[in-house]
Amino acid sequence: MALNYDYDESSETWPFFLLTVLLMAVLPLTLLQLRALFSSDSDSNNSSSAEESELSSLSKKYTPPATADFAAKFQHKGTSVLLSLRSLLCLVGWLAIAFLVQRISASGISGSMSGAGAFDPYEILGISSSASDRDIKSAYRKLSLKFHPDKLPKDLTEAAKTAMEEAFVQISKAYEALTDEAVKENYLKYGHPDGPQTTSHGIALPSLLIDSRASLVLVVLYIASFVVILPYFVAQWWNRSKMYTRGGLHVKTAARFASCLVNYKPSQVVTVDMIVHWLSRAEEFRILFPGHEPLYFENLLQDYLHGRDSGSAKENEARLRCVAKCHTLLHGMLEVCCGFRNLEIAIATLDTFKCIVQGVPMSRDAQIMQLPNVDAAAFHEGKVDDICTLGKLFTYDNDKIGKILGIKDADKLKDTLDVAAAIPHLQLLRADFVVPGEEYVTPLSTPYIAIKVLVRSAMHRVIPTDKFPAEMLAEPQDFEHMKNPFASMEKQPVLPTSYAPRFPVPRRNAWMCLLALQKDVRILQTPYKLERLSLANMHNHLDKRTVAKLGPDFDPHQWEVASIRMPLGQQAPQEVGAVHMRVVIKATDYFGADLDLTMTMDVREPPRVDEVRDDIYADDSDDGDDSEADGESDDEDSDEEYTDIDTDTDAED
Amino acid sequence: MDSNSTFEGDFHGFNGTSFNGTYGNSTNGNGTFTGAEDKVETIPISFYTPVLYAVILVVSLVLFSRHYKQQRLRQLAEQPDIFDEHDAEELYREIKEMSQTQKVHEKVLKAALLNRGAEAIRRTLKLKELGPQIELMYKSGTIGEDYWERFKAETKVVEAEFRDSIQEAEALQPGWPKLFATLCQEICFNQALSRRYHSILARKEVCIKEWDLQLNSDGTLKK
Repeated sequence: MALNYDYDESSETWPFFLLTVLLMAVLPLTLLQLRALFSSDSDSNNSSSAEESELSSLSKKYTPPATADFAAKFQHKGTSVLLSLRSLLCLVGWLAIAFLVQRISASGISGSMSGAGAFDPYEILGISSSASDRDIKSAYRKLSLKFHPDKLPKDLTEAAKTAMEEAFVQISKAYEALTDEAVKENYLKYGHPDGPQTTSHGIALPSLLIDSRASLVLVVLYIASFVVILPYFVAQWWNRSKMYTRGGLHVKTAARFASCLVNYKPSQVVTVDMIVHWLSRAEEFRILFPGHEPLYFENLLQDYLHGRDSGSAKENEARLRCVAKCHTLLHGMLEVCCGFRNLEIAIATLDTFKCIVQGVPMSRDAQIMQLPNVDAAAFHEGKVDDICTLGKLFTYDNDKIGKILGIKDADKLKDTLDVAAAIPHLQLLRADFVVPGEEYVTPLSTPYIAIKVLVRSAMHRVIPTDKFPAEMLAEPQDFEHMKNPFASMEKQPVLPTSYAPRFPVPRRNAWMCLLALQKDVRILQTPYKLERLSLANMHNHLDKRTVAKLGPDFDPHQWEVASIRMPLGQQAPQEVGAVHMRVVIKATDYFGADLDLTMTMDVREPPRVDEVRDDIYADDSDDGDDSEADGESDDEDSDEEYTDIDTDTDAED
Repeated sequence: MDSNSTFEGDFHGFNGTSFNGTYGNSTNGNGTFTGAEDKVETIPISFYTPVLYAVILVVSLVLFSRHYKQQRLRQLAEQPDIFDEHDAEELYREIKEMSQTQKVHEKVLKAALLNRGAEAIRRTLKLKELGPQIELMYKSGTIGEDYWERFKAETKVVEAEFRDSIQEAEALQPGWPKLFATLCQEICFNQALSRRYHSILARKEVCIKEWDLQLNSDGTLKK
């Protein structure tokens, strides 16, 4: 078979090629763009209608003007540029596609190419493909009589004559293809009675690119793209992917944080100042503002925490940019802390998180200081009764609170109280280690931690656990839940945006759940981030100043008991016994919303197999198998007492 | 078809395994070339062309690998150490240098060496303790590759440091190393204890500041 490579002299194929390539690029891009468009739509809908909580509007109200300007400047610009550039690419792509389609349809070659080379002897002879030899012969004879050059009428034009002759040639070829052995073989093998035809392979490049002068350019382009450009971009991509850790931290930052933890001496007290000092060594800050030492960033962060002016407007903006980076950095640092299993530093890191988000220094009074309008001097001056928690604050009536916090204006006081009442607190109701489908934790089983909490406001009266019926605090026992205990957590609503007016980026609160062994106070696993929790209880009315005591009219079903289910990273130990653990649930945004509890995992032997079998017998059989069961239980002494219990229950039933 | 012919010519040349030979006969390639084949031009290619090609390829690869290795070494050298300070080692080296020019009591040198050995032991223990955790973090992608490299390098450095201290001990007083190692270990533990003991006062200050504590003159908490 002859091979013949044709360049695209008449520009027939390369538009197809180009069209394919374009579609491959433009279609996914457009789909992505559309999805981004719709998801951002639904996001803004969510936050504007359903989730625009009181708190976030208050947060906006109390945002300092400089911070608001900063947020408007950086957030808006970032998204819109991205959107428009991509949309422009999409648009250009689709225009090019439209042009190509138009060009292809105008040249009108798409249909004519496919049928040209086909040769079907049956069709030419006008018979079905199952025709017998005799039918073939008779059909051929009939047609050849009609088209034979000798039999043609004399008055035909030259063109018609050649068409007739051509038809006759076709007919005889078709006849031969069906009768002559050699020709038939050719037809079967190559699809044509004359044997192999020349095949032409088109290369979708216009010939002007291959001409002697241009071919050099093409070769250079080819080499450049595969030897220089492609490796360059792959290297870029690879370096960038190596530059940041999985948590989005610059590797140098991660390394410095790790260094801090390695060089940390246990004799030091871990304070927020120390964490801020470590934080200031982050590479991200140096990328933002090259040429500055960590001390500069540390001062900026400390200025931010203490509400001091950093000097110039430029430095104040730099400060906000640094602060806006901090939540990623602190999450990264928390990850490193958990990697080194250091609980003390992890807790201090989360305290620093709150300080940075709220823009207040760490102190005993931080819970009060996170509220708006609080006059710190007046608060410290007229300190009565050592108030430092919101719960304590709400034991006083509103006017007294105004006096304590030094707020004179009634509207401002209302805002302050609204914020104080809307900060979600967690009240522990119950905490268990649960193995799905088991009554208790058995050796080497995989339990999870189920913590029942009541989300409440500091204003609410504390509701004792025994006010809730047991079924509200029990884990569901249905099959769906046992299959995946954590699925129901995903159905909870996302936490609303926090009250964090000084933080330049909108924040959503989250609770980080740390798990540590009591034995060595070491963190056991990576922190679990709780981002979804229903805050429905916050709107309930149970003001501790008006409701003196929970009366008989208290209805626990008005309250929603939230479940925090944490997967446990490892199996229960092999040995029977108690393992003491400490669970620390710390909010990232609010002071006072934390929970710190100890839990004991009581590992017990599973029920013995014999015992289980006895159960089955006891359930299934009334009298017949009794002797058998007795015979078995005789083998082991310890089992006897259990069979006794079984029969007892049977008797009761 | 002029543009085609040069490519077909090349194609032929490789099939016929002759680089600068002539190949008028068109059937030694794929056989069934038609008409156009007769017009094939021959392009003389020097014998040195493939050699040049190979040389350029190999040389560029060698240059690249050398450059890469050097860059890698420089990066490794530029990286800060896992541990912040090397006071013990520097102190010993300074004293040893001094002893060459002026009279230094032997016991001072020995004490400095013991201090150095104790520090090496502390680091060995620390790295051994942190090893699995750092490896886990590296595998889970919490820390980057360079920190992992640094950690592995540091483990070797600390080992070498301890071996070096023992050699120095042998040089100072033959037969000492056996006792030296156990002594270093004891000193290391003692230092850890004394660090904790001496930090109590500092901790107190930090805690007073952190928690706004009011103390009486005798150091008890004000009620």
